[in-house]
Amino acid sequence: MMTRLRRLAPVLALAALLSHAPAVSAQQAPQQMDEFVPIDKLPQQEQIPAANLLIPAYAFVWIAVLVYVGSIARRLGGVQRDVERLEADLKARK
Amino acid sequence: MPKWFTPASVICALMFAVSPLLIANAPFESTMGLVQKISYYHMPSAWIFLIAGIVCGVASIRYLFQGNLSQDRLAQAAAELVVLFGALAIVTGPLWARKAWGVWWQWDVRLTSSLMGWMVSVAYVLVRKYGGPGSDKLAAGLALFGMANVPFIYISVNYWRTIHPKTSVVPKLPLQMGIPFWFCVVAFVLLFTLLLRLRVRLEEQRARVDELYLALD
Repeated sequence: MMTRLRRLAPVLALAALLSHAPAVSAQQAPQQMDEFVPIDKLPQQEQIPAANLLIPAYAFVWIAVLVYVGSIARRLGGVQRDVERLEADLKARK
Repeated sequence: MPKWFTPASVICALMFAVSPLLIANAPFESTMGLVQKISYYHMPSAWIFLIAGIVCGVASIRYLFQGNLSQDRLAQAAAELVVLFGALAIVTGPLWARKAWGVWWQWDVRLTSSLMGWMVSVAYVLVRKYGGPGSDKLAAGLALFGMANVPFIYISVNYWRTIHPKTSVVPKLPLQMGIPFWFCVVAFVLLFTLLLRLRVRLEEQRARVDELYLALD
């Protein structure tokens, strides 16, 4: 009996989770926006949690672009050296 | 490199340096507050992601039907930029959504189709890198699917049920938000143009290396 219950436990847990899923998704249903409305002042309590998301967003963009530029510069430098070496070899052979 | 490249690079760097000041001075959005300011980088990144997808697709068509090697280099360069700008849009979007919607991700049509488009471009880059001989044409075929996805991504928010903001937010932007937004769009377009030129140059130099090896044989 205990073994059977133990086997059924994951199935029961999944069933319980799924039965709650529609309720969870129903709680979070903000309206779709069709325009942004500006305001002058921001409520104080808004700033800290939003800043924790805003700063990583901007940091990610800057870091990703800089890393990509560095990657192109490194690859281009390598190929440029190959071109110069091969051109010198070709010249020496002639 | 062309003569315009260095002055354009300086202008682009200055624009990116100035953009945080303009964004900081822009007004807050009434319902989303501070977090909405992510849109000043998120939306231009997403637009460039779509534009790069179109550039890659058109260049791939021209390569497939005309056999033009310069178009193949352009497609390869653009595909890498689809991956880069797509990653910027796909990472900054959830950071905005976490505060605005209460969730990191929604499997709605805009987000899902964007992810699919980005994965197609990743597939393109991987096929070109590891596919061996003939991978250029296989990748060009992939780029066509990527490009076909672009209009679907753009119009999806207007036709399907989603909480992602509609495309109408841009023409309806008030002037105080519009100035920093369009400034960032110009900066991103300039960045895309510069990176594309640089990446095409890399492919041109690789082709030159192949030519030199053949000449030495």
